[in-house]
Amino acid sequence: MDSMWQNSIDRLNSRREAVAAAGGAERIAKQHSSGKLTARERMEALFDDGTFVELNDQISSRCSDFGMDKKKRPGDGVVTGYGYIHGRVAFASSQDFTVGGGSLGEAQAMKICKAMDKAMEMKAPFISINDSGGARIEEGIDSLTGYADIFYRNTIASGVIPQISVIMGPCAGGACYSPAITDFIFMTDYSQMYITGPAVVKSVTGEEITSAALGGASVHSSTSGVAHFVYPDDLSCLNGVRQLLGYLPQSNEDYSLNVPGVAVDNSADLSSIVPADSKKAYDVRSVINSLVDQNSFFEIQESFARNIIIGFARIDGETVGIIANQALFMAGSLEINASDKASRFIRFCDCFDIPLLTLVDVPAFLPGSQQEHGGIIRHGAKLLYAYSEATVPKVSLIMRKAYGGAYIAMNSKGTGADIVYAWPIAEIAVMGASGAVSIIGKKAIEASEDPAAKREELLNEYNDKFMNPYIAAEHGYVDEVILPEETRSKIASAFKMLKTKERTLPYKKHGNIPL
Amino acid sequence: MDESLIVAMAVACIAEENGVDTKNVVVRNFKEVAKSPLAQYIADNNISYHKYQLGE
Repeated sequence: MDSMWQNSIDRLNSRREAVAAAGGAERIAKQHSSGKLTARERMEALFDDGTFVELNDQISSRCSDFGMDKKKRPGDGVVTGYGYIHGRVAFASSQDFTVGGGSLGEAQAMKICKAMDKAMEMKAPFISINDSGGARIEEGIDSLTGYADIFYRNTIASGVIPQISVIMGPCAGGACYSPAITDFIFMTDYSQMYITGPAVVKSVTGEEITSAALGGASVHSSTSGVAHFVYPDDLSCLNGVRQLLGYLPQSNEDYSLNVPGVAVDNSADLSSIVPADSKKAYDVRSVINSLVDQNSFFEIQESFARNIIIGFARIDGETVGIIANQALFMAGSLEINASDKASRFIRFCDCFDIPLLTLVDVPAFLPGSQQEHGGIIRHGAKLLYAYSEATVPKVSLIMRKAYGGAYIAMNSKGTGADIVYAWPIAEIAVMGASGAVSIIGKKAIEASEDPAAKREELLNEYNDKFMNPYIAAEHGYVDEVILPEETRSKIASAFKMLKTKERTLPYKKHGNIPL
Repeated sequence: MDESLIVAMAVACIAEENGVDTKNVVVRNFKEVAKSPLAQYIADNNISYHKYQLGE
């Protein structure tokens, strides 16, 4: 090898080493001491072993203001590239907090956008790992435009490729809006997301609040509903991302993998899980686990709007999205947060051809001024809209209560359900017997010599006539009344039959969902 | 494990994967691959970690 070759190779190696060294040993040690992995370690944990390939490692900032040209920022504070997850290609960016605090400037944004563009071209998922102090102030408007470039791509890619955000450190200000546009947000226990941090909050409003109380993982997973998943540390969090991707297709032109599992039919247990007395509560997750392939249920937003359960599972190896009223909380009634939670999930599944299974046991939309003034009409409408708009296979099981508008909203026949099953204990009516009799029997009860006896008589009549699934079955709103032990096989059969379903919507630029 | 045993195991794997006899595999040289930064971090901190694989 001649000396020119050698010099060139040495120069390349030196540049590579500088990039690999990131922010230096001291900052890496600090990152580790706070329980966090480095950007490249995160990539290694995210992708199948040995498959991560870094792209554009030499991109660097062109900014010279405020002495920026004197500062060394290897990789410009982000690592981007591709690799394989479960043998399928995926693209990712991982902000490097050891380099300039992971702050985002023009060059970092360009690196991220280039990876996003490749993900779109390859029709592959994009994962964004966030650990950044925010906009690089020295780069001014170029930094802000960098965020805009990312938000724009997030929006264009929405519904085309799955986009997952992973928050593993600070994510503040405008930076929050990229994760917010993506499909799923993972957070670690020590991460934070907020539009304005505690110091600004104090200066503007006088409120004193810690970072964790303002925008920690606990807040976003249980109160705001911003985060879908929370894990204690980086490694478990990235395993969670890998697990989620196992349920998803690569894009809207692909199908989820069939993952053969243990298909144990536990339907026989269902009659002992669900009490026939509709006032008694039970955990609907036990119903789900009895119906789906063993250990395949992967719950989403488990601490937020706990009156409705959503998540992915597999039936005969095929991914399904599950929406289920949870009788343990608010008796499974629908309210603002539950409507938002379920409708966004339904729309995700519809984007990516994931069939929907709805388990219904719903007494009503939650009444009260708090809900009305909070816009339950607007939020509840999202659920109706999402189900009506979805063209994927839609199967419902009415387990117990299905009353009024909430019945309609939970994937009823009228909003496009393909197959609706009901158990013999199902009660499908405009409202429960007590409320109904108080309205329709008011005059008769008042005129009666024995109002209590009359009320009892009318209750019995209403219960006998309406509180069952047979009128709905006679009118074609329920396709079949089934026994609990038949449930899994019936549902599996329905999804198998519906696999070739084709239903198209009339041409439109896009619908106008009530946001 | 000493080096000769590691090389013997590697030869056996290569032979099996390629469907050839071990006698036909010639080792010209070998080098020990350093632990990745993540593997090193996990080892240094005695972290119990298993990467999630599909279907688990």
